[in-house]
Amino acid sequence: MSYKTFNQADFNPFSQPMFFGETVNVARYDQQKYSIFERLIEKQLSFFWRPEEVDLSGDRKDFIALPEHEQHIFLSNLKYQTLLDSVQGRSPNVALLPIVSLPELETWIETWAFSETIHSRSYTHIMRNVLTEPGKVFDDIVANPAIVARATSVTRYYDELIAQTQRYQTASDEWCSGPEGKKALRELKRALYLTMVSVNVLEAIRFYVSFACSFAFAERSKMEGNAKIIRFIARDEALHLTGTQHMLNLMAKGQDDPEMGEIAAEEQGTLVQIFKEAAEQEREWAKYLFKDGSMIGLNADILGQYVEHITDQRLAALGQQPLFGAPKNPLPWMDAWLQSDSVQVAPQETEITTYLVGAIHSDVDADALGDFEL
Amino acid sequence: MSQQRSDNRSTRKVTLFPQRDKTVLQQLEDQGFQIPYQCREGYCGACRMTLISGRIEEVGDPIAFCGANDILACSCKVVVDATVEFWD
Repeated sequence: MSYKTFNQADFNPFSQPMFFGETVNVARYDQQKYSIFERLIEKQLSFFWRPEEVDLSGDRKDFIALPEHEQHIFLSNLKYQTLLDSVQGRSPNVALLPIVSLPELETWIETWAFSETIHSRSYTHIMRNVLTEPGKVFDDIVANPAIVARATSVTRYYDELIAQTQRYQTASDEWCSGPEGKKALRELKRALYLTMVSVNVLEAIRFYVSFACSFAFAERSKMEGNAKIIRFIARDEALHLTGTQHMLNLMAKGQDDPEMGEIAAEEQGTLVQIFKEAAEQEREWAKYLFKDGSMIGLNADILGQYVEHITDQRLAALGQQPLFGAPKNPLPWMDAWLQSDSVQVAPQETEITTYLVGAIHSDVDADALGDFEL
Repeated sequence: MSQQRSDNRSTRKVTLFPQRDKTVLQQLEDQGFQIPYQCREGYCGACRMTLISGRIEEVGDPIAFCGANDILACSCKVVVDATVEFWD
C-alpha cells in the first residue's frame, strides 16, 4: 500500500481519521475536521523569529569567565538541546507525513518541524558566538557516550514507527487488506501512539529540564543572550507540546479512530512507563551535568526535583495520576523566564514575542462604524 | 475571597467570585497561590485546573488542550461563583 503524493480518490476528508486513512490530496484549509491544528499553525507562524535577532556578544565574555565545571554544564546542556532539535527538525516529517490523513494536521506537522529547524540554527548561532572552535562541540554530540545514550532513548520509538511504516507501505494492497495486513496496521497504530507519547515526553519534559539549566545561568546575569534565545525556543515548545497533547487526547478518546482508542487503553501502562523512564534518564543526566560541581541556584538534586514536578504536571495533562506526588516547582523563577513577555523593553530595542505580523481584526461588525459620518 | 479551602493530598479547592477585570489565574495569584504558568494566553496549558462548580467564560482564544472539566486559569473569568481545584 504505497504512499501517494496526490491521492486521486474522491473521499470526504471529514470521514478520515488523523492518521492511517486516505493520504492527503488537496492542501485545503477552508474546511477543517480539527480546527485546533489550523489555530496552532496560525500561532506558530505569528511566532516566527530568527536567532540573528539576538545579540550574543556579552555571552562570549561571560563564557570565558565561567569556571570550568560551569562551562561543562553550559556546553553539555547546549549539546543536548542540539541533539533534541536535530531529532525534532526532521522526525515529525519523516515519521508522520507518510501516514497523516488530514490537510490541516499535515501542515501543522510541517510547520512544527520547520520551527525546530530554527532552533537548530540558533544553536549554531550560539556556538559560533560563544566558542572559538564550535566544530569540536558539534563533533562531540555523536562521540560523547552520555549524549549518545540520550539519543538512543529519544529516537527509539520514532525509528520503530518509521521502519514499520516502510514495511507496511511497501507491501502489496492484497496483503494489506488481508488478516496479516490488518494485524500489521494495528501494530503500526500502536507504534504511532507510543511515538507520540515519547515525543510529548521529549518536548514537555526533556526540553524543559534543559531550559532550567539555561535560565539558571541567566538568573545570575550570565549568558543572557543565550537565555533570550531559549525563551523563544521555550515559547515554540509550549505550542508543540500542546499539539502533541491534543493528538494524544484525540487518539485516547477513540472518536477519531476507535482502534486507536483501544490501543491507548491497552498502552496506558506503557505511557506511564515511558514518562517514568524519561524522568529517571533526566535525573541521571542531571548527575552528569553537575559531576564536577554545582552552580549557584542549581544542582543535581534540585534539577531532579524539577524533573519530578514537570513529569507529574505533564502526566496530569494526559489525564494520568502523578508519579511523584505532584511536588511543587523547586525553581519558582522558571515561570518568569518561561513567560515570553514578562520583560518590558523598548520595542525598537528587541523583538516583541507576541508581535503578530499582518494582524488585523476580521470580526468588525456594522456597529463599529455606527458613528461614522461622511 | 476564598470561602472554602480543603486539603486533599496536595490539591486545593478554592471558590472564586465574579470579577470582570481579572482572570481566574490573576484572582488566585492575588490570594497568594503559586499557580504554574508560562504563556498566560492560553496556548501552553501550564495553568490547567479543574472546574468543580460554577460558571466561567473563556477570554482570548485559548488553544491548549482542555479535558471535560478542565479550564485554563489564564484564559477565563468567573461568571457565576466558581470552585476550582488545583495542585498546590
